[in-house]
Amino acid sequence: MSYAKLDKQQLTAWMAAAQKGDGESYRLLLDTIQPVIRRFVIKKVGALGLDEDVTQECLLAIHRARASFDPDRDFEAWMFAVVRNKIIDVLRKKQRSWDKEIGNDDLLATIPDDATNSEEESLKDSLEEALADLPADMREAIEMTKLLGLSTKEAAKKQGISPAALRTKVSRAYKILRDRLEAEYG
Amino acid sequence: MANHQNQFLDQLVGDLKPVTPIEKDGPALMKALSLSFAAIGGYLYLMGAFENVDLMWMNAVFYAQIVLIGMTFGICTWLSVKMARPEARMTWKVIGLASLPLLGMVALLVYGWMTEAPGGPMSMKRAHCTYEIFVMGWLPIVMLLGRLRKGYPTESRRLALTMGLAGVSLPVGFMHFACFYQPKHVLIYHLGPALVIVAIVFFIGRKLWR
Repeated sequence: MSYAKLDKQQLTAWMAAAQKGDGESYRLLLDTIQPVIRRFVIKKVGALGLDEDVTQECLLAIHRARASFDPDRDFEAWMFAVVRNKIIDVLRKKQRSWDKEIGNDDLLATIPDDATNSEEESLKDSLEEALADLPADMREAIEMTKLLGLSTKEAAKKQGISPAALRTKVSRAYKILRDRLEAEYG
Repeated sequence: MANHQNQFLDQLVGDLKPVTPIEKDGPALMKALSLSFAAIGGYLYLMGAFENVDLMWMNAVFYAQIVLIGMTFGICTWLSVKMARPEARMTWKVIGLASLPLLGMVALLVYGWMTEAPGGPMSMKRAHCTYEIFVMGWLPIVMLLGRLRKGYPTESRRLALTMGLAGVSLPVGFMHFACFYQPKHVLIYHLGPALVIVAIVFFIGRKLWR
Protein backbone atom coordinates (compact mmCIF):
# COMPACT_ATOMS: atom_id res chain seq x y z
CA MET A 1 0.00 0.00 0.00
CA SER A 2 1.31 3.47 -0.87
CA TYR A 3 2.42 5.39 2.17
CA ALA A 4 1.11 8.70 0.85
CA LYS A 5 -2.42 7.32 0.42
CA LEU A 6 -2.39 5.48 3.71
CA ASP A 7 -4.55 6.64 6.59
CA LYS A 8 -1.93 7.41 9.23
CA GLN A 9 -4.24 5.99 11.90
CA GLN A 10 -3.59 2.64 10.27
CA LEU A 11 0.10 2.87 11.21
CA THR A 12 -0.85 3.53 14.82
CA ALA A 13 -3.25 0.58 14.77
CA TRP A 14 -0.57 -1.72 13.33
CA MET A 15 1.96 -0.64 15.93
CA ALA A 16 -0.57 -1.04 18.74
CA ALA A 17 -1.26 -4.57 17.49
CA ALA A 18 2.48 -5.24 17.21
CA GLN A 19 2.91 -4.21 20.84
CA LYS A 20 0.50 -7.03 21.66
CA GLY A 21 2.62 -9.46 19.65
CA ASP A 22 0.67 -9.51 16.35
CA GLY A 23 3.35 -10.44 13.80
CA GLU A 24 1.11 -9.96 10.77
CA SER A 25 0.34 -6.33 11.62
CA TYR A 26 3.98 -5.76 12.43
CA ARG A 27 5.06 -7.09 9.05
CA LEU A 28 2.56 -4.79 7.31
CA LEU A 29 3.87 -1.88 9.32
CA LEU A 30 7.52 -2.66 8.54
CA ASP A 31 6.79 -3.17 4.83
CA THR A 32 5.05 0.19 4.74
CA ILE A 33 7.56 2.26 6.68
CA GLN A 34 10.75 0.69 5.35
CA PRO A 35 10.77 2.60 2.02
CA VAL A 36 9.77 5.82 3.80
CA ILE A 37 12.64 5.49 6.24
CA ARG A 38 14.99 4.61 3.41
CA ARG A 39 14.05 7.77 1.51
CA PHE A 40 14.51 9.83 4.65
CA VAL A 41 17.91 8.27 5.31
CA ILE A 42 19.03 8.81 1.70
CA LYS A 43 18.06 12.45 2.01
CA LYS A 44 20.11 12.80 5.16
CA VAL A 45 23.16 10.59 4.56
CA GLY A 46 22.79 9.42 0.96
CA ALA A 47 26.05 11.09 -0.08
CA LEU A 48 27.94 8.86 2.34
CA GLY A 49 26.70 5.64 0.76
CA LEU A 50 25.50 4.38 4.14
CA ASP A 51 21.78 4.34 3.43
CA GLU A 52 21.20 0.57 3.52
CA ASP A 53 23.04 0.06 6.80
CA VAL A 54 21.50 3.11 8.41
CA THR A 55 17.99 2.12 7.29
CA GLN A 56 18.48 -1.25 8.97
CA GLU A 57 19.80 0.39 12.11
CA CYS A 58 16.72 2.64 12.15
CA LEU A 59 14.34 -0.29 11.77
CA LEU A 60 16.15 -2.12 14.55
CA ALA A 61 15.88 0.98 16.76
CA ILE A 62 12.13 1.14 16.07
CA HIS A 63 11.87 -2.54 16.96
CA ARG A 64 13.70 -2.05 20.25
CA ALA A 65 11.90 1.18 21.13
CA ARG A 66 8.39 -0.11 20.41
CA ALA A 67 7.38 -0.11 24.08
CA SER A 68 7.98 3.65 24.19
CA PHE A 69 5.19 4.26 21.67
CA ASP A 70 1.94 5.47 23.20
CA PRO A 71 -0.92 4.29 20.90
CA ASP A 72 -2.86 7.47 21.74
CA ARG A 73 -0.18 9.56 20.06
CA ASP A 74 0.95 10.16 16.51
CA PHE A 75 2.97 7.25 15.13
CA GLU A 76 4.81 9.29 12.50
CA ALA A 77 6.15 11.80 15.03
CA TRP A 78 7.38 8.93 17.18
CA MET A 79 8.92 7.04 14.23
CA PHE A 80 10.79 10.02 12.82
CA ALA A 81 12.07 10.96 16.28
CA VAL A 82 13.59 7.49 16.63
CA VAL A 83 14.96 7.55 13.07
CA ARG A 84 16.44 11.04 13.40
CA ASN A 85 18.09 10.07 16.65
CA LYS A 86 19.55 6.91 15.14
CA ILE A 87 20.95 8.78 12.14
CA ILE A 88 22.68 11.25 14.46
CA ASP A 89 23.99 8.31 16.47
CA VAL A 90 25.40 6.57 13.39
CA LEU A 91 26.97 9.79 12.11
CA ARG A 92 28.64 10.38 15.49
CA LYS A 93 30.09 6.89 15.45
CA LYS A 94 31.28 7.30 11.86
CA GLN A 95 32.82 10.66 12.67
CA ARG A 96 34.79 9.10 15.53
CA SER A 97 36.04 6.25 13.36
CA TRP A 98 36.96 8.64 10.54
CA ASP A 99 38.82 10.91 12.91
CA LYS A 100 40.66 7.92 14.27
CA GLU A 101 41.48 6.60 10.84
CA ILE A 102 42.53 9.89 9.28
CA GLY A 103 44.18 11.28 12.39
CA ASN A 104 46.16 8.29 13.64
CA ASP A 105 46.69 6.07 10.69
CA ASP A 106 48.57 8.33 8.36
CA LEU A 107 50.01 5.99 5.77
CA LEU A 108 51.99 8.66 3.98
CA ALA A 109 53.61 9.89 7.15
CA THR A 110 55.12 6.47 7.76
CA ILE A 111 57.36 6.91 4.70
CA PRO A 112 60.35 9.13 5.52
CA ASP A 113 61.23 11.84 2.95
CA ASP A 114 64.89 10.89 2.94
CA ALA A 115 64.36 7.14 2.61
CA THR A 116 67.70 5.58 1.99
CA ASN A 117 67.41 1.86 2.22
CA SER A 118 66.00 -0.10 -0.65
CA GLU A 119 62.95 -1.40 1.20
CA GLU A 120 61.77 2.10 2.10
CA GLU A 121 62.40 3.32 -1.43
CA SER A 122 60.48 0.41 -2.85
CA LEU A 123 57.60 1.07 -0.44
CA LYS A 124 57.59 4.71 -1.42
CA ASP A 125 57.50 3.80 -5.12
CA SER A 126 54.64 1.37 -4.52
CA LEU A 127 52.72 3.98 -2.62
CA GLU A 128 53.22 6.55 -5.35
CA GLU A 129 52.03 4.02 -7.92
CA ALA A 130 49.03 3.11 -5.81
CA LEU A 131 48.23 6.80 -5.39
CA ALA A 132 48.47 7.32 -9.13
CA ASP A 133 46.06 4.43 -9.71
CA LEU A 134 43.42 5.89 -7.40
CA PRO A 135 40.37 7.51 -9.00
CA ALA A 136 41.17 11.17 -9.60
CA ASP A 137 38.81 12.57 -6.95
CA MET A 138 40.17 10.23 -4.27
CA ARG A 139 43.76 11.02 -5.15
CA GLU A 140 42.98 14.71 -5.05
CA ALA A 141 41.30 14.30 -1.64
CA ILE A 142 44.39 12.54 -0.24
CA GLU A 143 46.77 15.06 -1.78
CA MET A 144 44.86 18.04 -0.46
CA THR A 145 44.45 16.75 3.10
CA LYS A 146 47.74 14.91 3.55
CA LEU A 147 50.29 16.41 1.20
CA LEU A 148 49.13 20.02 1.01
CA GLY A 149 47.87 20.00 4.61
CA LEU A 150 44.47 21.54 3.89
CA SER A 151 41.78 21.12 6.53
CA THR A 152 38.86 18.81 5.77
CA LYS A 153 36.60 21.85 5.41
CA GLU A 154 38.94 23.60 2.96
CA ALA A 155 39.50 20.46 0.90
CA ALA A 156 35.77 19.72 0.82
CA LYS A 157 35.09 23.26 -0.40
CA LYS A 158 37.62 22.86 -3.20
CA GLN A 159 35.99 19.61 -4.30
CA GLY A 160 32.51 21.08 -3.96
CA ILE A 161 31.33 18.40 -1.52
CA SER A 162 30.47 18.25 2.17
CA PRO A 163 33.22 17.66 4.76
CA ALA A 164 31.54 14.37 5.71
CA ALA A 165 31.60 13.22 2.07
CA LEU A 166 35.28 14.17 1.84
CA ARG A 167 36.10 12.18 4.95
CA THR A 168 34.37 9.16 3.42
CA LYS A 169 36.37 9.63 0.25
CA VAL A 170 39.66 9.85 2.16
CA SER A 171 38.70 6.87 4.27
CA ARG A 172 37.92 4.77 1.18
CA ALA A 173 41.12 5.90 -0.51
CA TYR A 174 43.07 4.79 2.56
CA LYS A 175 41.42 1.42 2.48
CA ILE A 176 42.35 0.95 -1.18
CA LEU A 177 45.94 2.01 -0.49
CA ARG A 178 46.21 -0.19 2.57
CA ASP A 179 44.78 -3.23 0.78
CA ARG A 180 47.17 -2.75 -2.11
CA LEU A 181 50.25 -2.29 0.08
CA GLU A 182 49.27 -5.24 2.26
CA ALA A 183 48.88 -7.38 -0.86
CA GLU A 184 52.37 -6.38 -1.99
CA TYR A 185 54.19 -6.43 1.35
CA GLY A 186 52.01 -8.66 3.50
CA MET B 1 19.25 -6.25 -1.98
CA ALA B 2 15.45 -6.54 -1.75
CA ASN B 3 15.93 -10.13 -0.62
CA HIS B 4 18.39 -9.01 1.99
CA GLN B 5 15.94 -6.39 3.28
CA ASN B 6 13.14 -8.97 3.33
CA GLN B 7 15.24 -11.33 5.40
CA PHE B 8 15.99 -8.54 7.80
CA LEU B 9 12.30 -7.67 8.18
CA ASP B 10 11.52 -11.38 8.68
CA GLN B 11 14.06 -11.47 11.50
CA LEU B 12 12.44 -8.48 13.18
CA VAL B 13 8.99 -10.04 12.91
CA GLY B 14 10.37 -13.36 14.20
CA ASP B 15 11.85 -11.55 17.18
CA LEU B 16 8.55 -9.82 18.03
CA LYS B 17 7.35 -10.31 21.58
CA PRO B 18 4.40 -8.61 23.27
CA VAL B 19 5.37 -5.49 25.21
CA THR B 20 3.40 -3.28 27.58
CA PRO B 21 3.37 0.25 26.19
CA ILE B 22 4.90 2.99 28.28
CA GLU B 23 2.59 4.47 30.90
CA LYS B 24 0.79 7.65 29.84
CA ASP B 25 2.35 10.94 30.93
CA GLY B 26 -0.43 12.07 33.27
CA PRO B 27 -0.66 8.96 35.48
CA ALA B 28 3.14 8.57 35.44
CA LEU B 29 3.55 12.16 36.59
CA MET B 30 0.95 11.81 39.34
CA LYS B 31 2.56 8.60 40.53
CA ALA B 32 6.05 10.13 40.65
CA LEU B 33 4.85 13.28 42.41
CA SER B 34 2.57 11.67 44.96
CA LEU B 35 4.79 8.72 45.92
CA SER B 36 7.89 10.89 46.30
CA PHE B 37 5.90 13.47 48.23
CA ALA B 38 4.39 10.88 50.54
CA ALA B 39 7.63 8.98 51.16
CA ILE B 40 9.91 11.95 51.80
CA GLY B 41 7.27 14.03 53.58
CA GLY B 42 6.25 11.05 55.69
CA TYR B 43 9.81 10.32 56.74
CA LEU B 44 10.47 13.91 57.79
CA TYR B 45 7.12 14.10 59.57
CA LEU B 46 8.05 11.08 61.63
CA MET B 47 11.39 12.73 62.39
CA GLY B 48 9.51 15.74 63.77
CA ALA B 49 10.53 18.18 61.06
CA PHE B 50 7.21 20.01 60.97
CA GLU B 51 6.94 20.99 64.63
CA ASN B 52 7.14 24.73 63.98
CA VAL B 53 5.30 24.77 60.69
CA ASP B 54 2.77 27.41 61.79
CA LEU B 55 5.55 29.80 62.67
CA MET B 56 7.37 29.12 59.42
CA TRP B 57 4.49 30.07 57.18
CA MET B 58 4.50 33.53 58.73
CA ASN B 59 7.86 34.22 57.08
CA ALA B 60 7.37 35.56 53.56
CA VAL B 61 10.86 34.60 52.35
CA PHE B 62 10.43 31.07 53.59
CA TYR B 63 7.05 30.91 51.90
CA ALA B 64 8.51 32.14 48.60
CA GLN B 65 11.33 29.61 48.77
CA ILE B 66 8.97 26.73 49.35
CA VAL B 67 6.84 27.80 46.39
CA LEU B 68 9.93 28.11 44.15
CA ILE B 69 11.39 24.73 45.09
CA GLY B 70 7.95 23.15 44.73
CA MET B 71 7.72 24.59 41.22
CA THR B 72 11.15 23.17 40.38
CA PHE B 73 10.09 19.74 41.58
CA GLY B 74 6.81 19.80 39.64
CA ILE B 75 8.21 21.17 36.37
CA CYS B 76 11.36 19.01 36.33
CA THR B 77 9.42 15.85 37.17
CA TRP B 78 6.96 16.64 34.38
CA LEU B 79 9.80 17.22 31.88
CA SER B 80 11.55 13.99 32.95
CA VAL B 81 8.33 12.03 32.49
CA LYS B 82 7.78 13.50 29.03
CA MET B 83 11.36 13.04 27.84
CA ALA B 84 11.15 9.27 28.26
CA ARG B 85 9.32 9.32 24.91
CA PRO B 86 11.47 9.94 21.83
CA GLU B 87 9.18 12.47 20.20
CA ALA B 88 9.19 14.76 23.24
CA ARG B 89 11.94 17.15 22.23
CA MET B 90 13.00 19.73 24.78
CA THR B 91 15.32 22.60 23.98
CA TRP B 92 17.90 23.94 26.39
CA LYS B 93 15.71 27.04 26.60
CA VAL B 94 12.89 24.98 28.13
CA ILE B 95 15.30 23.36 30.58
CA GLY B 96 16.68 26.80 31.44
CA LEU B 97 13.16 28.09 32.14
CA ALA B 98 12.46 25.01 34.27
CA SER B 99 15.47 25.73 36.46
CA LEU B 100 14.58 29.41 36.94
CA PRO B 101 12.54 28.79 40.12
CA LEU B 102 15.50 26.95 41.65
CA LEU B 103 17.81 29.81 40.70
CA GLY B 104 15.29 32.19 42.26
CA MET B 105 15.41 30.23 45.48
CA VAL B 106 19.21 30.23 45.48
CA ALA B 107 19.20 33.98 44.82
CA LEU B 108 16.92 34.53 47.83
CA LEU B 109 19.22 32.43 50.00
CA VAL B 110 22.35 34.24 48.82
CA TYR B 111 20.65 37.58 49.38
CA GLY B 112 19.60 36.46 52.85
CA TRP B 113 23.11 35.35 53.63
CA MET B 114 24.72 38.57 52.37
CA THR B 115 22.30 40.86 54.13
CA GLU B 116 22.14 38.69 57.21
CA ALA B 117 18.40 38.68 56.91
CA PRO B 118 16.77 37.78 60.18
CA GLY B 119 15.64 34.22 60.01
CA GLY B 120 14.10 32.00 62.60
CA PRO B 121 16.28 29.60 64.51
CA MET B 122 16.77 26.21 62.99
CA SER B 123 13.98 24.29 64.60
CA MET B 124 15.95 21.09 64.86
CA LYS B 125 19.58 22.14 64.36
CA ARG B 126 20.12 19.02 62.37
CA ALA B 127 23.71 18.18 61.62
CA HIS B 128 22.95 15.25 59.35
CA CYS B 129 21.11 17.17 56.62
CA THR B 130 23.78 16.36 54.06
CA TYR B 131 23.24 12.62 54.40
CA GLU B 132 19.47 12.94 54.38
CA ILE B 133 19.46 15.00 51.21
CA PHE B 134 21.79 12.46 49.68
CA VAL B 135 19.58 9.50 50.59
CA MET B 136 16.18 11.07 49.89
CA GLY B 137 17.23 12.67 46.62
CA TRP B 138 17.53 9.29 44.96
CA LEU B 139 13.93 8.22 45.53
CA PRO B 140 12.29 10.40 42.84
CA ILE B 141 15.22 9.65 40.52
CA VAL B 142 14.82 5.89 40.93
CA MET B 143 11.08 6.23 40.24
CA LEU B 144 11.73 8.16 37.06
CA LEU B 145 14.40 5.66 36.03
CA GLY B 146 11.76 2.94 36.28
CA ARG B 147 9.80 4.68 33.53
CA LEU B 148 12.88 4.76 31.33
CA ARG B 149 12.99 0.98 31.15
CA LYS B 150 10.20 1.24 28.60
CA GLY B 151 11.17 4.65 27.33
CA TYR B 152 13.46 5.72 24.52
CA PRO B 153 14.95 9.07 25.53
CA THR B 154 16.70 10.99 22.79
CA GLU B 155 17.79 14.02 24.80
CA SER B 156 20.17 12.35 27.22
CA ARG B 157 21.89 15.40 28.72
CA ARG B 158 18.68 17.37 29.13
CA LEU B 159 16.87 14.42 30.63
CA ALA B 160 19.72 13.71 33.04
CA LEU B 161 19.72 17.32 34.20
CA THR B 162 15.96 17.59 34.73
CA MET B 163 15.87 14.21 36.43
CA GLY B 164 18.62 15.26 38.81
CA LEU B 165 16.82 18.53 39.60
CA ALA B 166 13.50 16.73 40.06
CA GLY B 167 15.16 14.29 42.44
CA VAL B 168 16.81 16.80 44.73
CA SER B 169 14.26 19.60 44.78
CA LEU B 170 11.70 17.73 46.88
CA PRO B 171 14.06 16.80 49.74
CA VAL B 172 15.58 20.29 49.58
CA GLY B 173 12.09 21.76 49.94
CA PHE B 174 11.09 19.48 52.78
CA MET B 175 14.37 19.94 54.61
CA HIS B 176 13.59 23.63 54.68
CA PHE B 177 10.93 22.84 57.23
CA ALA B 178 13.41 20.99 59.36
CA CYS B 179 16.04 23.72 59.27
CA PHE B 180 13.93 26.86 59.25
CA TYR B 181 15.32 29.65 57.11
CA GLN B 182 19.02 29.74 57.80
CA PRO B 183 20.49 30.81 54.44
CA LYS B 184 24.07 29.73 55.03
CA HIS B 185 23.10 26.33 56.43
CA VAL B 186 20.62 25.68 53.61
CA LEU B 187 23.13 26.68 50.93
CA ILE B 188 25.94 24.51 52.29
CA TYR B 189 24.20 21.49 53.78
CA HIS B 190 21.08 21.27 51.62
CA LEU B 191 21.90 22.70 48.21
CA GLY B 192 25.55 21.57 48.31
CA PRO B 193 24.81 17.83 48.41
CA ALA B 194 21.83 18.41 46.08
CA LEU B 195 24.15 19.82 43.41
CA VAL B 196 26.48 16.84 43.86
CA ILE B 197 23.54 14.51 43.14
CA VAL B 198 22.54 16.55 40.09
CA ALA B 199 26.12 16.32 38.79
CA ILE B 200 26.28 12.54 39.39
CA VAL B 201 22.94 11.93 37.63
CA PHE B 202 24.01 14.20 34.76
CA PHE B 203 27.25 12.34 34.13
CA ILE B 204 25.76 8.88 34.54
CA GLY B 205 22.67 9.75 32.50
CA ARG B 206 24.47 11.13 29.49
CA LYS B 207 26.57 7.97 29.32
CA LEU B 208 23.62 5.62 29.85
CA TRP B 209 21.16 7.09 27.37
CA ARG B 210 23.52 8.30 24.65
